[in-house]
Amino acid sequence: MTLEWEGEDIDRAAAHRAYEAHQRLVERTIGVPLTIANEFSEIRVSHVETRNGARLLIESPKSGQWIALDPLDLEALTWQTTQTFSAMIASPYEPMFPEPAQSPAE
Amino acid sequence: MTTSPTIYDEVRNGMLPAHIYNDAEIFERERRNLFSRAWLFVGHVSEIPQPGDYVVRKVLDDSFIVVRDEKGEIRAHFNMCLHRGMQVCRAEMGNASHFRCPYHGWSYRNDGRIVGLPFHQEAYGGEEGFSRKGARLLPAPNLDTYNGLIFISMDPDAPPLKEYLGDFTFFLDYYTKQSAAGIELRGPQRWRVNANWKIGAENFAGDMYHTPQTHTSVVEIGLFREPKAEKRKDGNTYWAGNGGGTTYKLPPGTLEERLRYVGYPDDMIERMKQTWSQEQLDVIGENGFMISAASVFPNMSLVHNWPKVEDGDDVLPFISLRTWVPISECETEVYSWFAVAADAPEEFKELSYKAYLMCFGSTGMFEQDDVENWVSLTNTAKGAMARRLLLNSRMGMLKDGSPVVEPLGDDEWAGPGVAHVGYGEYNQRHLLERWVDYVEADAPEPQRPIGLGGVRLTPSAAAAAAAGDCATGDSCDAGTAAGDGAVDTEGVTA
Repeated sequence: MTLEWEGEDIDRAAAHRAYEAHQRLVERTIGVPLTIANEFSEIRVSHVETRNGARLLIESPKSGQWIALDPLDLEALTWQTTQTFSAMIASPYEPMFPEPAQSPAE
Repeated sequence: MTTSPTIYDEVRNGMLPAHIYNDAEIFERERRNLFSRAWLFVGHVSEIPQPGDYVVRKVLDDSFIVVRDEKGEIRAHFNMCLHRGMQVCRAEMGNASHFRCPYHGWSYRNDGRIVGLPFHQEAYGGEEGFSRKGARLLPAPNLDTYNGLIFISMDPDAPPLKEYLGDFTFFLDYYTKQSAAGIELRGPQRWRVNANWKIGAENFAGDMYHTPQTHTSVVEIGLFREPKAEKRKDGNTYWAGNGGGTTYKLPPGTLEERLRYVGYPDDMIERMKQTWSQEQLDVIGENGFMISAASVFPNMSLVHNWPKVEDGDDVLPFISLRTWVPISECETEVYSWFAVAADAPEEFKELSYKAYLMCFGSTGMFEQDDVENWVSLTNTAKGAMARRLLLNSRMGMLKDGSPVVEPLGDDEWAGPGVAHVGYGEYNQRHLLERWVDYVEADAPEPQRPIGLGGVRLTPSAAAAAAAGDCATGDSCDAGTAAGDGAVDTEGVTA
């Protein structure tokens, strides 16, 4: 029997779901991904066509984090100022508005 | 009882104790009294044209992030994280809206304000323990620009830059404002030479005398139209405000003919006529002088020359800016930029860049010639005998201090300051007299350190802290940020 922290199974299940979702997106990449980087970060951006529409897949190869934004998400970015990004950057590697925890059954 | 003259008295007399070119004690005084107070050139706004563009520049041991923030303001942040002192930016140039320290991930907006500390709540108790309000990368104590040239000073009480430059701005315009569009820079190339920083600054300020000897080969291979390097002695050396330089005499002709003679195309000449004052135009058109090398005290130099860039007799001018950044008493880091009018024709820009590379920069022929001398001087200045030798820097001056040739009169020189035709070491003396003014006098102690985001001791609380009972409350005051240190550039568009 291996020891486990409480909640590790939930994290593992979430990681699997995220991996599968990511794979489905990557399989539908159109064209060549674009990499942009500066001395603080490197990011890969790809145009993904789902069955019914387009998303922009944004990946951080170093951390493995990713997000797929639809056109309205992206338009919402155009309404922002640097202040929004400062607030996001202020808490690295965690969302500004955490989603309620999901149980494995959900 | 008479006291013997100090090295500073000797320098003021035009006789230079040779060891000033390689002396650790003197270098320490330069660091403490000169580079802590003077205005120092660190870059140009054309190097950071877009919001988020930054370059990292050194002032002796201090690294600064020179950046255009999201609002378009030019700033210089001390490149040291407020937390454990890691260098926040390690790339020499880049573009970023935020900087993130590699050590613990503290992050800053490009205007210097801190935005994030990982685990702020858990590790510091949030704002209660580390107040982010007002906490920012330390700004350079002073920052200002002239024609887009960015200068910083480590002295918060330094006089305004324009006042510091004084009448030298008249000449700075020839190099940095040939039209309303200003200049754009390429570079810098950076390299180190085993030479004292003052030698290059003096050389560019006024040494026309070395050209026939040191740079013979450059003339011999036909890089210039003038058949003899001695042509230099027909030019003048001028000193105005906080800088001085050398000029070439031009053949007889009108303003336009003379500007064409050095290789400027007509459209650039037209813009010069619209941009420069009547006096600036008269120095060329009436007096017949064209600016060449120059230095701004202490360690910025400029050069303007017009070699042949292709077979034939046509010449083409180039402009170069540089700084002599001291590493030690016997080593200097040279930053060398190519500069050109931003609205010059593309073909002119390319040929001008070629002209610069042929003459200056790490591949330049002049550069190789010069540095050989400077390294030798520096090495020789280190020994015991150099402490017994006063170098003669009195060229152009008789025993009683009167000039060998009278300065140019108002009808011969439309520029400010004092100009003498022919060989002389007036400018080297001016430069070193200013050096004495700074180095001889002890600068005031640097201001108290600034602590940001945490808790600062008042002097009375320091004693209590030493006794081990400083906590929070009345005895400690919160650190306050220094001024935010931004400048608006003079209408320079990104």
